[in-house]
Amino acid sequence: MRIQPPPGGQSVFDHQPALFEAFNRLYGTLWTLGALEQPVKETARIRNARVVDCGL
Amino acid sequence: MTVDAFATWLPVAPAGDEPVDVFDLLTAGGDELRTLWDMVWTADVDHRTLELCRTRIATMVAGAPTPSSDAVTDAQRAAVAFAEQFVLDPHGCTDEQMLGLQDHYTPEQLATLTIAIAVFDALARVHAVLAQPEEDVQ
Repeated sequence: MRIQPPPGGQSVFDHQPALFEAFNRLYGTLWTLGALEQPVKETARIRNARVVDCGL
Repeated sequence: MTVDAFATWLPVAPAGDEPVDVFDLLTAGGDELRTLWDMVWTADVDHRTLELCRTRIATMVAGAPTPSSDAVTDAQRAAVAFAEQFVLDPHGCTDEQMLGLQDHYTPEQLATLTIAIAVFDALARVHAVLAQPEEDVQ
């Protein structure tokens, strides 16, 4: 791992838990609410992940 | 520093010449985005570095004007180089580059910087896609 997480953490973002929580709140809101249907969001997510070669 | 409003071609935007905050058009997520934006700017990376990264990304993504060539520190230069590589190809960020960043920034600051760059990149792309062409804005 290029940047070590803090003790007890799992990723670099555990160094900034409040900021990461705000990011996850936005991410979760975009997934669970809004006018766009889930399959459309998932299609876009998969396409974006393929373009940037993201394994998530 | 607030999320900039801009004129959009979206047909659901209010008529007229006044720029709208495109995030007000979201049925969900606008408030969360503004909260994240505010937190990025009030965290532990200095405004000058963040603004250099933001303007560089805007230049790359949306064709915005090139930022001024004011003197920058080695730390700021490293941050901007990280921002550039993040936008171009995140897999191109090398171990050497990431180690070099740690000469200037703590892990806490790098967590902030990475999220900040991700937000700047995302919003620059939103602007590039949704903003009215400049020639259409009076």
